Amino acid sequence: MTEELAKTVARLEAIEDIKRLKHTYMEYCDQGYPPAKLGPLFTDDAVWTSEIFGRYEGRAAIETFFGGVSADIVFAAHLALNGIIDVDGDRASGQWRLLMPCTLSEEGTNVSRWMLGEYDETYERHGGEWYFSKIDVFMNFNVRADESWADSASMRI
Amino acid sequence: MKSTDGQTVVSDLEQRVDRLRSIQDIIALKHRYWRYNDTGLLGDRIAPLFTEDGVWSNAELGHYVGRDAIRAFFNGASQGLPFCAHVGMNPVIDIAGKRATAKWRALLPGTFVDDGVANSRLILIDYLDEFERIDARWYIRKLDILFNFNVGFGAAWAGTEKIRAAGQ
Repeated sequence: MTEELAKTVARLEAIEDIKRLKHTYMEYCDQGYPPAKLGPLFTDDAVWTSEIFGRYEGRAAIETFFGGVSADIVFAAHLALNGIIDVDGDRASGQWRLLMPCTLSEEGTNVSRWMLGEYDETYERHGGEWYFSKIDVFMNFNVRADESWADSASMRI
Repeated sequence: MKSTDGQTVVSDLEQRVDRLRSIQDIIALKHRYWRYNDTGLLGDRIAPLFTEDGVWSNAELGHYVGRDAIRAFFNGASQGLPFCAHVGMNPVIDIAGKRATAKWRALLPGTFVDDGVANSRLILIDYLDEFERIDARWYIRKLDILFNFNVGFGAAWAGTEKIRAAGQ
């Protein structure tokens, strides 16, 4: 009985810890993508990938990528919704939606944009702490705040 | 579980469950606060969610200390804001005994009335919150509210953005 209860509590703790990891990642992204803060959230061999923004393998490559992002994305709020988290021992997977009001520097002009995206992620637990082992971002649309997304929206196949 | 001793195991489980329950209670408290905002800025319902000396603070809208001041602020605000939806996201909650801190984001589509004219606006919000547990119930000790932007719906926010200072 106690053993079963302990397993249930451990699973709930894992889900809560992964939510916190995700929201902390989003918070750091909103702070200008500081590589020194974002890098330690990933495993050493983690993958960050996006059809639009590229594929980066390993923590060092991910940190280098984030180091250059803030030149183009000068302001952003990474808003995470609809988390689905499945835990299997020291590994887990998660899916989320992203709504992101942001300001992009485009040819010297700051432009207000809305992005809608979805995340497909995996996590690993090492030493009692959860880390990202993969973030796969798919952008559904990316439009100026004063325009429509009707002709540009896309979905994962 | 650091021990096979039955009592230690149960005590450890109780503490872990208490932390999880506190996180869920604080999420529910925050969502209730937002709901009472969205259903008419109900000051009489919002005020009891705060501790007696609770603080509600925002650079644009003012600094209110204590339930009475918070109640009066909300009860007087609904004419200027007949509709709003606080859509809350990204909680990061830390529990430390009977105290807790939390960060949140919210997107707020609202209808604001200025000089009799209703305007659709969109506000992006950043919260730094404090909570306190009194007699097994969590209350809001402080809401520190930063508007990252506050623009007419469909308008650009570039050039108006605000963010908190590093380290906050």
